[in-house]
Amino acid sequence: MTTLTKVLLRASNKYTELGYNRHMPKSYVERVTQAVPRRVYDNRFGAPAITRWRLHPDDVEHGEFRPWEQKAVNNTLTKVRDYHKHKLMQKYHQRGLPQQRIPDELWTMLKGDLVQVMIGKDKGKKGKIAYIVKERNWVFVEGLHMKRTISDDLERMKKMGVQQFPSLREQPLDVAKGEVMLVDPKDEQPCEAEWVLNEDQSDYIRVSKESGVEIPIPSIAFQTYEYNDPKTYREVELKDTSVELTLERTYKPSLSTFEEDISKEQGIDERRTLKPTYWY
Amino acid sequence: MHKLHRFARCCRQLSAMRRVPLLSTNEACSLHTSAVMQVSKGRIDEFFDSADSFGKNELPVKDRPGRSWSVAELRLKSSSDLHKLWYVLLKERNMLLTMEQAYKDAIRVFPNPERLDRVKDSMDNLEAVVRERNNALMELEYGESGATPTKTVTSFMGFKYEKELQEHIEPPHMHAVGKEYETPYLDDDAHMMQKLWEEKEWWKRRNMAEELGRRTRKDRSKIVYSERQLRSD
Repeated sequence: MTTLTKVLLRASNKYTELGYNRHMPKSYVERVTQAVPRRVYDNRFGAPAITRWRLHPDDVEHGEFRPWEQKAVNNTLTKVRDYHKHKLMQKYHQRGLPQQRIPDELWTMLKGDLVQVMIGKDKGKKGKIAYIVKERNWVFVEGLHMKRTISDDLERMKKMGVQQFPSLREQPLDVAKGEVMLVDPKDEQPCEAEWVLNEDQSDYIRVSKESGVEIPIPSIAFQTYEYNDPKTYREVELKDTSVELTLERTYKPSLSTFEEDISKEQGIDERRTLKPTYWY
Repeated sequence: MHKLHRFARCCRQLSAMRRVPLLSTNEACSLHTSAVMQVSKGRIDEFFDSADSFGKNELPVKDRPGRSWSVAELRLKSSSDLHKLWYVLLKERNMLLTMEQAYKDAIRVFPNPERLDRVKDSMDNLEAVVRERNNALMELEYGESGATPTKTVTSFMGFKYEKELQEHIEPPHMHAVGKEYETPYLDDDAHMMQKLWEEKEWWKRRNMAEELGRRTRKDRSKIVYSERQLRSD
């Protein structure tokens, strides 16, 4: 087996990509979290550029809402306003620490997994993962670790004289602190898991560190913003390209540039030669 | 083929496009005569989003278009296909920008603005693939890539940096810009500037390290997975 074949046959670590915002463009997430430069002061005779951020990337705080949801956007805008107000008033502004998120290779919790809560009044209870915020190492378990809360809308209703009802909401559990653990399918005890190659070295699987038993991936783990299940995904008419057409190979290597190819196709016959120029 | 593979967005089917011939003079004339008919057939609709999405804050899951074209997928396509795809993407971007402005004028929420980023990603990837192919050919035939050349120069403040070169008709000795170059030794002013600059940067780094140390000591529960990035600004 040649080296190239080995490289091509190597299993890809696609498990690192699993998540709700898998296909969300990075630039869009940066835009809604305001982690974009407000102005870059450059062209300073070789001195490094100074960037004034709308919100420094380390200050971006992910919460229980997706960054593009209205409540998250409102929180971000408040943060940005405060930051620039402090700047103008020359007040001390404590910048956030860089996020200490678990690397994708070590992250094993997926949506729909059976987990055990290790702290709080629901200690020892088992439930399914309902929501994950990877940026904060957070996991929300369905119906467990709940707190009585009054939402903002209800507060507004109270002002208008409408009776308010407290509701129960799941609270985040930190994976890095071991507040929640996966359940071993063999003995149904809490366990740690890792990604290892399967027998024929073709794909990564998740196994329990204690018993070595495989923990199957639930189908809901593949859900993203665009679809609930990739198997049942249907291409959007006039927008998506089909699988066959996308993977069809039409490129044939030749000794002509892109511009030459297009000129030839369009029947443009350019015979003039360029004069020599100097680059400095 | 991987089952989970999802397919790139915002493209009319390439096969359908291949069937559209280039307009000859006669056809172009007939277009004028049947302009109204063309409009009624729905050609003007291509400048706008589908009417079902009007006034919605977010597209329903079944109408959300897929991800952008990746570099790996675009490498499979011929120059001709890439050329067509570029205009498909350009049309889509034009449509999205039109819709964005319309929603802005009506003071409404533009549904799924990430579509614009998806188109931009695709266009960037497409350009990267074209550049990659052209550069490979240039390296093969001329021994240098077609990228803009750069050179290292020293500024009057003593900074050494890479500068992008510009194309000129006259030879370099006729221009002041042509005489910029990298100097091995700095003059007194530039030397002092560099010394003071280094000192300032050192203090910034040290203060930031102290600050980070103080704050991590405060919160011992934080687990460090990688080396902290020190920020200078």
